[in-house]
Amino acid sequence: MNCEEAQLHLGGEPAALSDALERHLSGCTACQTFRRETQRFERDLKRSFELPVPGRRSVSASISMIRSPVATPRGAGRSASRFTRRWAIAASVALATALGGLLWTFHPTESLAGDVVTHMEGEPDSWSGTRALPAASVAGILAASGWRLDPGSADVVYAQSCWFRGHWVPHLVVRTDHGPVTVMPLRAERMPAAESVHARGYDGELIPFDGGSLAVMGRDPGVVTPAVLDLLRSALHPVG
Amino acid sequence: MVILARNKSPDDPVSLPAETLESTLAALRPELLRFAQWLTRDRALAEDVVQEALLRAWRSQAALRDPAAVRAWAFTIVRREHARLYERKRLEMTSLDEAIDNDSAELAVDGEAELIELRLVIYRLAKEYREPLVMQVLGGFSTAEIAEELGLSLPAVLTRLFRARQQLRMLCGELPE
Repeated sequence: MNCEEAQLHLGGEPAALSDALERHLSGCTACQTFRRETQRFERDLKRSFELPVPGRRSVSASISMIRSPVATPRGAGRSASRFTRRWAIAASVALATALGGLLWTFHPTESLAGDVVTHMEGEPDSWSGTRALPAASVAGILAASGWRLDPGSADVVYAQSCWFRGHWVPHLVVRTDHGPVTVMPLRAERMPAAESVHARGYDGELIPFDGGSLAVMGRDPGVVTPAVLDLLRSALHPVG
Repeated sequence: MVILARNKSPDDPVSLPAETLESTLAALRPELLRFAQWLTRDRALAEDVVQEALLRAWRSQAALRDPAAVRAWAFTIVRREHARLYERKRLEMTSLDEAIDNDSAELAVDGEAELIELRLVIYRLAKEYREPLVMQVLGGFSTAEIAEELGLSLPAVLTRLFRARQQLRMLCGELPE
């Protein structure tokens, strides 16, 4: 476990302390400091959440409305209703199992493409941006992962630094003529050849790039064009 | 299809006695209300959400498989009721400043300036960060439970929780922006 991963866990779930995290902490003063600060902040956070609430209200009154025969005039049909409900539950379970099986079958969990898609699914709001972000904020996020983008080369409408497969990577959404595309330069992910991705509503390309790879994904077929790939390849540069 | 009768299995629902469930829900109400207020950012709406959730909990008590899990079960119903309310009514968006104005008295209780500032900053946090944070800190949900409930991957939830705290600390001036 490195410092980035340790601090992600400390900041994401301060109450949890795995063996790996404990081992890392025992030899890292920076993360020990980070943990102390996080724990202090956590105490404030818990106190701030403790808003006063009014005294108990009529839970019993509300419930008794349902319990009363007026509110539940189904006495005679109770057994039929239960039977129907059990069937409904059984049908739901069967459907959920079947859907789960289907999803599992088509879920490329082990592949880089699958992980990129899963990551995008986890950030649905990334697609909602319409205004180009200030160049300085995009540059800051890219620089944090050792990248830079030629100024004025692309309209970036979303930029975050994301934890992906053990590394912080830039997650950009760039506006193109055909629609927005997600762009993730992945320095640590080597790949021998380009790969087209068509999975779970996303279409795009994973291409070898600067010793690692570059994921460019859209939500519709035809958005990730060769021209878009060429533009990104020429505008993105590793730093340091 | 033939359905065979069978003995009760450990997976069958085990209901709480009605009176126990009623008193448990009543005791949980303040916590649920607090939880709903942080989700809705509106005290009056939070009251409605909790009231609906309690009724729903009562009606679906047969779905409670583990009586020991009644707290988490009730919190989940509140969260879903909140989500349902937004889907169903497509509630008019209240401006954030208006929401803060409406609830300013509650947010300012306890007097400490830093605490009040933190509450205001939490109100300003985007829903995608606020919701998992409230679920974790107030609801006591694990990261895996939040992931399941919100339909997100585990790393996505961890990242959101991390970013939520970083943003709060930044907005409070503890970290550089």
